[in-house]
Amino acid sequence: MAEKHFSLSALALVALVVTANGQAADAEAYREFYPHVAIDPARGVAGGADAEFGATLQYWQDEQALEQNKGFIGQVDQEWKLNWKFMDLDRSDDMHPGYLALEKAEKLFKFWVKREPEFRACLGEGKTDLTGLAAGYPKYDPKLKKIMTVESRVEHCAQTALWENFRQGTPENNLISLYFKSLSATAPIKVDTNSPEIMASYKRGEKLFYTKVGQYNFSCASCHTSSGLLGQRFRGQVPTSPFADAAHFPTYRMNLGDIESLQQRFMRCNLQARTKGLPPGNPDYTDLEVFYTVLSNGYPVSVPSAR
Amino acid sequence: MAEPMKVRAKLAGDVLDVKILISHTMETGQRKDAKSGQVVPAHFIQNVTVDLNGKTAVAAQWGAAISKDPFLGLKLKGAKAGDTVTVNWEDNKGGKGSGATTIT
Repeated sequence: MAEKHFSLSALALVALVVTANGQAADAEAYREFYPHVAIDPARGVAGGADAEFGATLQYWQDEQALEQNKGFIGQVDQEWKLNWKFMDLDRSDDMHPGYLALEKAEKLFKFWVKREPEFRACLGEGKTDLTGLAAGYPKYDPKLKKIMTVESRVEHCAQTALWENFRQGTPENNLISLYFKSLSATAPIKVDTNSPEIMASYKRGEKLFYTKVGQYNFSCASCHTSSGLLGQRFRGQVPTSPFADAAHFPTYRMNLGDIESLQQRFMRCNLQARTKGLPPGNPDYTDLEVFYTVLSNGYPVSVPSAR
Repeated sequence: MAEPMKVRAKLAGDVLDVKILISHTMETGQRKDAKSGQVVPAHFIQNVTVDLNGKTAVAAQWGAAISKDPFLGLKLKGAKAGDTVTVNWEDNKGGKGSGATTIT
């Protein structure tokens, strides 16, 4: 009992110190911000001022536009205008390693579902048909009082239904997420922008997009807007527009030889800009994923894919 | 080896377009395991043969410089619909794999 009292008073003391220093701690975290660009989250892929994001939307906004501008492929100074979406053109032709990973993923998923049929119901939140469900992620789960991404849903369901620890960023989590998302292939992404929780997260993600961090003092916007490096060569490549960029994740990365989730991509992007990356599943990365996926609203899911 | 493998063959005029995707780790033998610090032993495909109706059309000797999950594309002349394309590979550890398709 005495011990409990002690720890309680210690807690109160800590709380006091925090409130006393709260102001100071906020002021300490000095941050610079990249100039904001107006984005309308309700309009999804078309929500940005196009000129601020490379002015390329007309070339890749749908399959027709991509087909028409097929001639850009292979031309060094034109190719980037397709926002690398031409790499998804081979949907009918299953000849890239993303499909090999998908076969492996399907086997893994079937193995676990055979052992614990509850796993499927958990992923579908009661539904057993998972087709098209992943296109609605990330979404707010009122039961868990959390924003769930495809990866965190897989992590949660593995814990509750399988008693397995498929942490986000592990190969098992990536594979099952890949399979789950592939069941929604070609379905347009539809993140619920009417949900107040999602929009609060979107706002936080938008702020993070413009927040400068790390040794280079780079923000996401430093490379992925026209006033930044979008449209110019950087590390030998032209950066993508943030619009419709979440549609093909989790993707097979040729340079890793493995499946990579969107949050792992954030982590690697941070490391390349000399910033300490956060672990996948971190709330900040979830906010950034919500921001990115809202900007992909209306664009079809193209999983499996290779980049 | 139960590794999956994909073979596609399509006729365009008199030229046969063959696409082959092999699932293989293709370890170079130069990489170290991050956890144990031990060198990961080399494990890569050495010989690939592409046969058209049982007759070898392409024979390739590969090395460690070929990427993981290799893709091979080639064009052949003198094929017709109904012919079979067979691909066989063998790696440095004696592992073998094969795949086949019928031209449509």
